[in-house]
Amino acid sequence: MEAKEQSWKKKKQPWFWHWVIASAIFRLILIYFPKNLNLASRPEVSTPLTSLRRLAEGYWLKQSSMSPYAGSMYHGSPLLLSLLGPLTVQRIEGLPDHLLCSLVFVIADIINAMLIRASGQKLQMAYGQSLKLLGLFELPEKSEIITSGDIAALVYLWNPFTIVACVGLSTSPVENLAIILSLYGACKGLAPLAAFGWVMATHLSLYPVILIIPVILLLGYGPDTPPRKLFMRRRYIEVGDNPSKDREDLMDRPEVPHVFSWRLIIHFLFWTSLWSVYVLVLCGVSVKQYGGLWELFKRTYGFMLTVQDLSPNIGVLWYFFAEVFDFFRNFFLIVFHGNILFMILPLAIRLKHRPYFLAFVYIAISSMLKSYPSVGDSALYLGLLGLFVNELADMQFSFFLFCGYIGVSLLSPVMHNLWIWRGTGNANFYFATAMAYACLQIILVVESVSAMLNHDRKLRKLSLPELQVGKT
Amino acid sequence: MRCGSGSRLGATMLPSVALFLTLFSSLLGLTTARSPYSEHLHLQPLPHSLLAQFEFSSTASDTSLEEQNFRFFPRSLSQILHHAHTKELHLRFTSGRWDEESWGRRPRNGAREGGTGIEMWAWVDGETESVAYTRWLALVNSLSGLFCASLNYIDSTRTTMPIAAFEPEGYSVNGTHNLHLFHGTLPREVVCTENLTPFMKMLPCKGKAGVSSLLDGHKIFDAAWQSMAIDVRPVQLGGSSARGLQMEQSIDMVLDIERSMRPKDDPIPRPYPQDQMLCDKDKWYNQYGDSCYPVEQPPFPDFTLEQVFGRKLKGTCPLIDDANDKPTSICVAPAGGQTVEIKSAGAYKETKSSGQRCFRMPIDADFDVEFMELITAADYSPPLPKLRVERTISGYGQQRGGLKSVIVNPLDEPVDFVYLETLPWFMKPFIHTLQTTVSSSLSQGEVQTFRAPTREEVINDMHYQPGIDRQRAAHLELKLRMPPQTKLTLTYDFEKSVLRYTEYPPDANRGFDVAPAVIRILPSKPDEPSSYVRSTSLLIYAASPDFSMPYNVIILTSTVIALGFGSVFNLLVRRLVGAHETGPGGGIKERIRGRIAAIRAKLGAKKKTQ
Repeated sequence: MEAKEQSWKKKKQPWFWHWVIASAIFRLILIYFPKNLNLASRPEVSTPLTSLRRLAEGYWLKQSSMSPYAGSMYHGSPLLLSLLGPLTVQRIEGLPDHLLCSLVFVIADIINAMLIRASGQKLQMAYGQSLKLLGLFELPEKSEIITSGDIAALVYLWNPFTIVACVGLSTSPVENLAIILSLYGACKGLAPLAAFGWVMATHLSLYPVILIIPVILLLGYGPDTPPRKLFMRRRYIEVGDNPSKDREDLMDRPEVPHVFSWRLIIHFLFWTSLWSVYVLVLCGVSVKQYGGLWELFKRTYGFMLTVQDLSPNIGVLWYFFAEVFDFFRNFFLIVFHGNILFMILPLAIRLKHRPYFLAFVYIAISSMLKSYPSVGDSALYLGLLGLFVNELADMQFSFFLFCGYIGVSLLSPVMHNLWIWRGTGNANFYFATAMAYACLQIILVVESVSAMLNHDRKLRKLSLPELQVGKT
Repeated sequence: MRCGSGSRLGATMLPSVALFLTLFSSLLGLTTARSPYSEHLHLQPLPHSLLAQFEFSSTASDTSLEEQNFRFFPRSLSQILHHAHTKELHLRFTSGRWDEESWGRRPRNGAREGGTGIEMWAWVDGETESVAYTRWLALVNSLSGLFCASLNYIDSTRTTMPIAAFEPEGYSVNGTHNLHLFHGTLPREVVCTENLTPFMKMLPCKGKAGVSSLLDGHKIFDAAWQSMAIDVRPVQLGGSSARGLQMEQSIDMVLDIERSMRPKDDPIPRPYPQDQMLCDKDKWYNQYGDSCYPVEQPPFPDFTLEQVFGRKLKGTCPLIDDANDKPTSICVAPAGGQTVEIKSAGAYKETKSSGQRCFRMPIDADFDVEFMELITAADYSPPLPKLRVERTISGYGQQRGGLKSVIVNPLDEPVDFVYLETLPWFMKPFIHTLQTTVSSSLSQGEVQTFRAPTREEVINDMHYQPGIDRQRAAHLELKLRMPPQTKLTLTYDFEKSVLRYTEYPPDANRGFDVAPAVIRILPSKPDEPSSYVRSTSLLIYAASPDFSMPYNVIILTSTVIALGFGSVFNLLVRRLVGAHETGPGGGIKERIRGRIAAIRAKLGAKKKTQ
């Protein structure tokens, strides 16, 4: 049977790779028409943090021996500046500007998809194993046409949001790469990689700092499993039912999810501190003559947290802080950022057995409440959502959400055009689409969490039929 | 100041240039003895208009200022300058646009004019920049009160510190002062009568006598272009030890003659009655008498000063020392062939020089000048300006745009100049997109040999200070060099940001004014003064939020976020249990019954214990 499965998989592989190559070619074709699409200046794509144009200005300032943070232009990482900066000034005759940067983003996107696929395979394998432990053999195999990793990778690659973010010269593919790298490392139990990804992601866009909880849970408990209680009860029942000679066999079964691996966590923390020191030293060296690290933090993280630039984007905070009364400003800044922090702990407690899903929820929440969201952030969590197709098969409102996302992504540019370019609409129209988008993201988070909890309940019912009978 | 006394400049040079150079040669030769007060009016007809340049100059020595002895120098200004440790001050109130095409070169080579609105720059003494900046703020706030202008709005977002665009005019002692130059602009400010009144109050005769008696707010601010300037600078008086302050007040304006001559009681322009209309007899349809093709008015019509200014010129200010060699004087530079008649009951003196006639005014008699009509002025061509500048915004929409400056060098010699641009912080320039294009404005045949200079050859030096949100304006200074007869185009892109709703000006949908670019043309010879050209100010249309919405936005956004927070929490704290998994008696009735039973049991227990 296993041989058959192998051959089936092999038959399927070229099909997957065709789509991957097609997506890369599609991106390259779009890159050739940057002037026609004008994506780089869309508010959905380039926020003050992710705009490559601002990065080029920062690099120009640096080249003219000024601090790249001298004006309110560049607010990104100095490392990204030295990595992408030289590429922004390279011009090849006859080819569009910023071609090299675009190629970097395309490669980053492909790597992202590969990492999502790899972690998806790992997740599925581990999940199948734990279901077997619960005695639910039939469940994983029933929806095995394509593996969830492949689905997630293709969803990520072919999501219009990802394509737009990649072609529109925003740095979000690189930021997403760091996040996915960290999750992949944690999934595979590679503490140094997880630590590197987390440190880089935090350094690049600050909000992934909350991902330390899912990463630690992933490293400690391993990938997503059904609730831990089920295993205990299951074992208890099995041990209780079986005659004594089988008891030892059962006890000897490989029990993956039950022990918290402190060794990996200590490794992770060690590597985290090592990488952080490394990144800080590199940053320190690059901003030494421009006011040091404190100035850097003020210009990057301070800028993100205080919402200084109110240029329109797909989030709700820009309009809120344009309209709010000045004396309430600080209060609401604390409230909105506190909102993300308040959600961390309850979610972590309830979903601790599914750290990868927890990471998805965190990313979705932070991309809704962050100060400068772009479609690149949405692309990331929508890609990760693909990893849980099996678990979230019973999710409610999925068609409504799908239509909502399409509607908002069509209406939002129209409203923006009416407001900014035609002058027939006003800011409220555009803000309304941003509100609708925020609502959609809330519904997505709520529904996916609720579907996941229902799924756990279903597993409980299936794995402990005796218990149910006993109760009723 | 006597005009024309030192101008042996040849017939090609224009009177205004001659005046300017005389003026400057005496100013720069700082050791010459100067009279404590002098006033002067220079009149020059331009096509359909009249250029009038008023100038009042008063000097006070440091010792007299320390003794609080104010005769001509205004006490208020002196005290403000002393308090703010300001060594040199330049203040400009300008409105309108100088029309280079029909009027030619700017008066006084542009050195006594500002950009549209208010422009001000000063050299302030201070040990450190921050100390000097505090004093600059004090200066700006006090002047705001003195001149009834919104100068107090010149804060850090409107203040820049140019490096090469301005140079101190006054005498300076090296090493003793730590001077800092600050420059601020208010392009939105509307200059009006309330600024003229304090200006007049500073004059010793306060507009009651002397050339200042012609100044009338209704006429000045109705002019096609006007610039009021106050310049205070340290000077050396006579010997090397005596120093003092000199204040120069000047008003330059171009009055539209026909518009100014409208009667006061009926200022609304109306069509002429049929019989007073000048008709073109060459047109065939004019022969019927009921139609008229109007002929253009002669470029140099007949007018008197009283008609144009609506006031009488009342002799000389009596406070002026008669022994002084520079009393009130009036100089007239009529267009070629135009005759000028003087109407005065008093005795006046006349001096003639190349192209202009200067008069020493009578002490206590009215004085009027009549310019005779000049119909044939075909040979009139204004002198070429040194540079022509035109600045525009390219692109549309409220999100981004491009700035384009076209600078034309019409002369046959290369020009070195400094280009200064101050942008408000909400206009975010991408200087890495700065591009220069030089094209030849020569005729077709000569263009063939023209080699466009590279960017490095054009931009000799560059100073850029990027703006910081809500703190500092962006400031770009370029040192450029242009080959003869060329056109230089500077372009770069910028983005406009959305502001907080309280940061918008009252009429937000009008847009934001951007201060004019200042061009300082560096002299080709070291002892010449530099001349200035300013572009017009720009209006950028930036996106604005809906100002009626703050409550709605706060409420809606908070609701959405609270909704998300609430529903996630609701989900997390709820235990999901199937209906069949719950115990019996899940109904509301049962529950209430159970509660009541529980309370009863409790009460019962309490009674028992009692």
